[in-house]
Amino acid sequence: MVAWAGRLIVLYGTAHTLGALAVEGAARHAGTWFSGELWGADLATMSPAMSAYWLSVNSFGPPLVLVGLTVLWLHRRATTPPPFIAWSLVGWVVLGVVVAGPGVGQDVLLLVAAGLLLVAARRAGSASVEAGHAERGPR
Amino acid sequence: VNARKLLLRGASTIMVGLGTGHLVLATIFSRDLVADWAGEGLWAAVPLALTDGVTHPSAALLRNEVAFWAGPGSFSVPLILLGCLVWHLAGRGVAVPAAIGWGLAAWCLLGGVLLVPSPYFLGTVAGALVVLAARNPVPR
Repeated sequence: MVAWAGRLIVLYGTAHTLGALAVEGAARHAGTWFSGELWGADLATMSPAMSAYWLSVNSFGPPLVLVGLTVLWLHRRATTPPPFIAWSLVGWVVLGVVVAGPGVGQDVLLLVAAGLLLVAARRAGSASVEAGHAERGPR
Repeated sequence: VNARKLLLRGASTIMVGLGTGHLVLATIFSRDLVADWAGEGLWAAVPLALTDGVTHPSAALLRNEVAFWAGPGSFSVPLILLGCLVWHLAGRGVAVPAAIGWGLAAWCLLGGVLLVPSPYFLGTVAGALVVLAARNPVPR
C-alpha cells in the first residue's frame, strides 16, 4: 500500500514536470532560459519563458518526486511514513482544486496516495510505536 | 553530539525556510491577484488553460497563471513537506538516502543557474547536507 502511494506520488510529480515541458512547450524556451534572460527578471513583468520556467523546472514536480521516492525508500526499510505527509497532500490538493479547478481529475492520484498512506499509518499504529522503541533502543 | 542528526536538521531547516519564504514572497508579489481570486470566490479563479496554440496569450492571463504556479502551485509545499519528513526521520535516527540529497542538489542547481541571483542555491546546500549525513556513520 505504501509502495503504491509512493509510486503514485512519483508519477504525479513526473507527469506534471514532463507534461509541462512538453505541452506548454517549455522546451521551446530552453534557449531563452540558458541564455540567462531570466536573470534578475522582474516577477511582475512575466514573459512566456518565465511562465514556462515556473510551470516546469521550478514547479512542485521535482520536490514532489523526491517526497515520493523517500516514501518508497521508507517502505523498503519497513518504516511507515508519518501521517502528516498524507494530510499535507490532501490540504494542498484541496487548495489547488479550489483555486485552479479540477483540471482533468489528475489530483485523484494524490488523493488515492494520501488515502493509502493514512490506512497504512492506521494499520501500523500500535506496531510502529513498538518499532519506534526498538529503534531508539539501548545504545 | 550526533553529527548526522545535526546535518539533517540543517538540511530540513533550509528546505522549510526556502519553501515558506518562497510562498510568502510569492503571495506578497502577487497580492492583488490573490485578492482577486478571493474576490471571485476562489472557485476556479485560475483556470488551467493551456497556452499551447495561443501564440500571444494576454499579459493578464500569463500573470494570473504565473501567480498560481509560482505561489500555491509551486515547489513550496512539497519542499516544506520534504523538509518536515527529513526532520521527522532525523529525530528517529534515520538518515534519508544520499540519492535524495543528490536529486535535491541537482534540481536546485539547475533552477538556480536559470534564475540568478536566486536563493535556490541554498537548496543545493541542503542537498549536500543530506548526502553528508548519509555518509556519516551513526555514533554508537
